[in-house]
Amino acid sequence: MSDATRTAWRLAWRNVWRNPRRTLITCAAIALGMLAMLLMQGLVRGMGARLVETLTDSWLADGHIMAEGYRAAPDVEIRIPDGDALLARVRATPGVRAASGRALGPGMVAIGDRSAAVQVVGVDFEAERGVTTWEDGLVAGAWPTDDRDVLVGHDLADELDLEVGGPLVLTAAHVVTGELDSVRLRVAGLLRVGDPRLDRAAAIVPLARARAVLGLGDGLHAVAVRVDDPAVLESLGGPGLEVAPWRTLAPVVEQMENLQGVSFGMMLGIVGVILALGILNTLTMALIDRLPEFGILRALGTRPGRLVQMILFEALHLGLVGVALGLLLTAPIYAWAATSGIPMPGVEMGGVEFTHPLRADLEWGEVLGLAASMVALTVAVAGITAARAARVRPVDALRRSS
Amino acid sequence: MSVVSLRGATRYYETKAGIVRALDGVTFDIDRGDFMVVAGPSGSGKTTLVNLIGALDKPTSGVVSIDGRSLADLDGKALADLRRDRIGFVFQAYNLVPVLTAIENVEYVMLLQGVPAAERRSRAAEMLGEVGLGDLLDRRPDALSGGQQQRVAVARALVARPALVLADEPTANLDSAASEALMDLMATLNERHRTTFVFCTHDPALMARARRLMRLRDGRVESDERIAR
Ligand SMILES: Nc1ncnc2c1ncn2[C@@H]1O[C@H](COP(=O)(O)OP(=O)(O)O)[C@@H](O)[C@H]1O
Ligand SMILES: [Mg+2]
Repeated sequence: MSDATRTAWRLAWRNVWRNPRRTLITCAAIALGMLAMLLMQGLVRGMGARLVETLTDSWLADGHIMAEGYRAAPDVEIRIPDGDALLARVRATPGVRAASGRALGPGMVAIGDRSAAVQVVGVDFEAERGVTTWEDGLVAGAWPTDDRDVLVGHDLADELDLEVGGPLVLTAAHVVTGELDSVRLRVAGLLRVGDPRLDRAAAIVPLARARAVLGLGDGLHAVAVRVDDPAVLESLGGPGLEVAPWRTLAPVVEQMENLQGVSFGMMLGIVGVILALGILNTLTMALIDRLPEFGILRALGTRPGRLVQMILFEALHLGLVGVALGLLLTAPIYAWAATSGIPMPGVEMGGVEFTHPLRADLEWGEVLGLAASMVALTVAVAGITAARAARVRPVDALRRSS
Repeated sequence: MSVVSLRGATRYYETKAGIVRALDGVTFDIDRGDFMVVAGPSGSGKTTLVNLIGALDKPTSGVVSIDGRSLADLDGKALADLRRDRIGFVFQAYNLVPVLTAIENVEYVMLLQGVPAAERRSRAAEMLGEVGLGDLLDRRPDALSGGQQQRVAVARALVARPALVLADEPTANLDSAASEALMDLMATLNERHRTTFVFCTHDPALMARARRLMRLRDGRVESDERIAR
């Protein structure tokens, strides 16, 4: 760096603080813009993460193995015939952390004269612990241990006025004979996981019980698996089977992400334009004030390029100060939004209810990326001003001063 | 050889009201060591003339050459370099860069010339000493009086040893005592360094100091006389 460049750098820094009020206003605009964008981005990401977490923890796990065709048209007859053998093979596969077989079918629950249509969900309660977080979602009662126990969602319990420990009659049709069979069960616990399919319309019973009423033998409809690495999923397939990662099972996530991408991009654009106009305005005002000074510098033999450099340095300082201010401002608010989170009772997204506070979630790359773009934006806008300043003839700039 | 030569130098301005003949066919030479006052009423073309002599502007027609080089042949960058290396300026007001200290202002032109830092510093300090500001090196312009600011400007104009120092109404914003002192200073420096000075004024007290007095009227040279002192 030449002496003249070093001096331009120093001169720029002093010029930034020549009008502290103007500088602080510009920097505050940059800082607030950053705060808005980072929080928005953090919350949007947190929301997405929450959605994914709810969907995967409450039902999808990392993926499902199903009989071919079941995903497209879930019919109780389309099942994995030798489910227990598959389950054993999956559990023995390296990289599989946990697997739980599920038997699913239509049914009805009734108590007194109240009844509701449900999905019968037969699971191995021990195995399910490794795959979903239902146990954390128990709002009353206990984890089932008896083969007559049933877990129901809290919404269904409200609807039917069910009580923990109280009776419930489950009715389902046998797959082969079509005969209806009813069993009397005991409500072991009430569940609240945020997914209405479980909270509102499911009766979760021991696997053997579901297989019996539905007449499935040792068949299964899905094996939910947890894996160390998504790539492991692919190795779990076989003839007549389809392996679907959670993303495939919940297309709503991708739709949501795309939508968020678009709306965030738009917001970024709008905030960017507002900021750019604000910065341009202050810089232009500063430029007009300092025209005589630029005239002097030019008269003394400063080349136009050097003048441009000085103004760009000034913008760089301004941008850096603004970004530093923005980070200082954002840090505590983000820390709060990321740890305590914002409670969102009753808010739903993609059919999933926010049972937990919404926590902001940001990556360092994003923060740095945004910071860099703010600085770049400031310098770019200053470029317009700088080009104009460099074109001013020293004679004209000087004439205005006298 | 003369430092500056003008041959039929003309500068017209195009305005909405029509063409203004600010300088209308001026021919003369400025010689090394001249201590020249350009006098004339407001609007007579003094600033226009100084801008041409200082390579800040080009003539509409006619020839202006500095060190034998015609301005018409030089582009913006070459003109900037010519000003940097050959000409010192003292303007009427806002002469100094506000965020630079007195000594930094004086160093600035040498900085552009690429003079090494240590030499810059010592030459600037010495020059400020010569204009009587040896104690105020690190003051910013807003902490200096008007007269002191103009002295800093004089120091800056002289420090790079230009062929020519141009001053456009340098005393316009000063009281008469400060004006006198500034003129004394420039006269002394002219004698000591044989630096060529050209300044514009319409103040009769300053005209009385000239060793060459040129009067302008309506963009033409009315008179040009050398005065022995
Ligand atoms: N940039 C310009 N555009 C139009 N007219 C100008 C411009 N500069 C100077 N003039 C006119 O040219 C004439 C000479 O101006 P100037 O050289 O500033 O005179 P002085 O310095 O003696 O007062 C005046 O009539 C002035 O109005
Ligand atoms: Mg004038």
